[in-house]
Amino acid sequence: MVDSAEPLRDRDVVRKLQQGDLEALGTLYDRHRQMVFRTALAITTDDEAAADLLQDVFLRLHRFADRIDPDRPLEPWLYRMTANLSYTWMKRRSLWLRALREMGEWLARERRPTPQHFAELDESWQQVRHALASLPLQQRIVVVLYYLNDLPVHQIAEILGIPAGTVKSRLHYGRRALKARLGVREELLPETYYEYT
Amino acid sequence: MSDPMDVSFGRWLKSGLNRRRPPEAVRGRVLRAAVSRQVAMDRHSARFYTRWSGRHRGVGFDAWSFGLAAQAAMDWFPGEMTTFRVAY
Repeated sequence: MVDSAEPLRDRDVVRKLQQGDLEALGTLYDRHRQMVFRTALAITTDDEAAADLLQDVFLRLHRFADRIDPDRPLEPWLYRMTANLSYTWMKRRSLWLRALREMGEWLARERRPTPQHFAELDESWQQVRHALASLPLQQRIVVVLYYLNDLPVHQIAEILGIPAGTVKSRLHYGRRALKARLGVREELLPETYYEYT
Repeated sequence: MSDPMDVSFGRWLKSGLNRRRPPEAVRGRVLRAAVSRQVAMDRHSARFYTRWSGRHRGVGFDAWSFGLAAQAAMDWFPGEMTTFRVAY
């Protein structure tokens, strides 16, 4: 007997989306938004950019739904789109960054921190953000897909369209840079329980 | 390929991102943009202008346009017009 309350699988929802059902887009958004948002956030280290990229990824999902094969898992497509859009955003930003950096530093000196600012300050995120931001972009994307999304090397290679050896190399240097950045001694890493969904 | 620190790195990265959540407003923005895009796509497709196409897509000849067409027909043929039919 089929349980009518059982949620539809992604492939069925994608088929509905291909037929123009916008509720299907909402369903896919609810299922995958955390993953897309956190991936974009880890790559860009910018909350507002991650929110914009989240929106962009799902609008592209709607736009290109006809080109998606429902019988293949949706996650790799989402990872690829998130990584590509984040990469493009970072590249664009770097063009402006140099000119804006001085102005930003000047404004930061002028700004008075508010109580809300301190309330929103998440220490563990700040630590992660600074460490990720220190990595070169290509290494950062690989590190994020490997450590945050738990993807195997061959799948990262497939998503990014690069050889598995290149993924391993970027992972190796990224890992080494992180260790140096964090001054890693194993006991310093937090034994934090997390609920990552 | 694995490193003794892999588990710790993964845990560290996830715990750092654990409390980061997308703004609630994004969902509405996505769906609104998708709706407007879908309507625009329908109106730009040749299929939209074929007979009965709007009935299945839920994007038909809207009441406002129907009112304009009816008014124009009545203005142009005031005496003769007993019935009129707007093209689909």
